[in-house]
Amino acid sequence: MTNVALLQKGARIPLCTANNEEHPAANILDGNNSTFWLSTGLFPQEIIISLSQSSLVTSISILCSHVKELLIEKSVNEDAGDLENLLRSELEFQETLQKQEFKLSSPTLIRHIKLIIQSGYDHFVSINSVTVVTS
Amino acid sequence: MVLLRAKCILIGNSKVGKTALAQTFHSEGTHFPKSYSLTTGVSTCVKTVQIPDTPHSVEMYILDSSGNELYSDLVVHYWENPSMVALVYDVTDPQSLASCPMWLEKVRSQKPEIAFPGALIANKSDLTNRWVVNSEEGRRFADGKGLAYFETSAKDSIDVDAPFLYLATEYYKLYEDRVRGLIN
Repeated sequence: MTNVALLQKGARIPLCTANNEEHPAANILDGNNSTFWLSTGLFPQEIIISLSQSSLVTSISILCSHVKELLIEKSVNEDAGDLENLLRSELEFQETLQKQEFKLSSPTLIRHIKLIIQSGYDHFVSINSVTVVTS
Repeated sequence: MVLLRAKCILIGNSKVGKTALAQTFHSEGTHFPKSYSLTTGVSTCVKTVQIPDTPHSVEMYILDSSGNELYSDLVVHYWENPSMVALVYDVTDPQSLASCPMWLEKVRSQKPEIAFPGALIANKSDLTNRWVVNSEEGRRFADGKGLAYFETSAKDSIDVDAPFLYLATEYYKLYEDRVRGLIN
């Protein structure tokens, strides 16, 4: 049970559709739930998280705010090509932070995940952290 | 420095001057389309607005939407996830103000759960001897709907920036509120 979506574990964010200098996407992987990435307006928003190596993943959790429709895709390719749908969810509205855990039906080999936020409960959505747990 | 992005829905009846406003604003007063041409569907222009007294700015994607009924089913497809609305009427045409509640409802129904900034623009203010809708009527409607009221002349390039600057500033305030909420 280890979280591999951490900067200190070599995870990186090579792509994010909203570059926010004050609240950058790297905050998602810093292991601190009080720092966050905040989108800068418009939908959809996309973020790719690259793990340091392909890993067998058992669950993915997200701590975020005002996210409504969320799609997660995965890739096993080195270059994040051939993305496949992993899951789709509509999160419930929360005044405060939304916390959602997605348990995968079986351990799945993943090198990159792409989060696609299709809509939100506000103009701006935050992601405080993403946890990718390996067996 | 933060660069926000916003989808601004520009709407109102045909011939009230939406395209003229968008083009005058976009060209900073250097281009006013002198002959009328019906906008079919939606035409987009992008303009970055600096928020006064801050290093921040808002990139506005202005969706100049046809007010012609022929295109009304088509244009709403572009209005998904709106950030703000600029509602335009013509001070010489009472019917154009009477249509505003319908236009506003159409935009708000795209995203009923989210509040977004709105401006009511009384255009063609240069046609002084043909004013039929007085400022009072416009202002009363705007107040009742939570919109800010502006009088503009796209032709004489008068106060065209004001509604857009207002919308960008209000949008930026919403962003600031979100940051504050997340930090506390």
